[in-house]
Amino acid sequence: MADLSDKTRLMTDDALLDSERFAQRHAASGRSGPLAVEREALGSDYRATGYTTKAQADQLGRVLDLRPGKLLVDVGAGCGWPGLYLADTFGCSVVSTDPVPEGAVAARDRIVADGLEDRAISVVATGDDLPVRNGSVDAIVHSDVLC
Amino acid sequence: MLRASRRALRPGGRTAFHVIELPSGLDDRQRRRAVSIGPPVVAVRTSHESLLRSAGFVDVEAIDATAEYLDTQHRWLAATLRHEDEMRATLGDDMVDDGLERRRRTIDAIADGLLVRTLYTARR
Repeated sequence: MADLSDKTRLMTDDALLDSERFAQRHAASGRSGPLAVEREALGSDYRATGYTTKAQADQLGRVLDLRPGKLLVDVGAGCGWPGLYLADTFGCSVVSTDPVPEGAVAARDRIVADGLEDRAISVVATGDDLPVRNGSVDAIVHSDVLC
Repeated sequence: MLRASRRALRPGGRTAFHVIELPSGLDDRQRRRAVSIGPPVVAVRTSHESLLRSAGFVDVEAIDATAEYLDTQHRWLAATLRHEDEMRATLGDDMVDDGLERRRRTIDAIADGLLVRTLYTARR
């Protein structure tokens, strides 16, 4: 029982550390250094830290047949990658969701900056409780969310 | 989450997502190493294809994206090193050092065949 308790405590400490790292990383992700690294690694500038490159985002748009009039939900979009990019590139509408308020706020700011207010919205939500009506969505992406 | 996605989709709607996972056929030692390096989801023993089918999706397809994953990891590493001084000033030495170590360990694990990345597509 002591072993289990120790493991549980360690896992909790790790989770807290990851959470702190995430918050620190997120706060810094909009600065010039991390943005330059992101551009060179992924080809994006959405404060993304995952592995979905611009070429792979384009592939997602093609396999999901995104185009004007279609509604996309991006689950765990962080600051909007790749959902806002897909809306901008393929002309679809998008609901960008993230459970972290800071990410959803950054996505909202990006929507305004890119002039996507008429077909993009950013919402704080988890993947288990999507802010859309059942049966209303054409496509859903959640790249690297399960990672 | 997959069940929630299926509920949200209209009939015929599609989902697509990338996920990092373990290849089949790893022995116990390889699996332990992969789980220690990969993201938490790699510890799940049920395949994502099975999870999608259990959630009610059809036309499930899996496209291997491991070569691109390895290339992207190399590009993250190289870009971080190119901007190392600025990254250290922004994130701090501990976070940069930890990130570089994790990146190198992950690259080795991918190159050793312990981690793969897959694009899954499926239809409601």
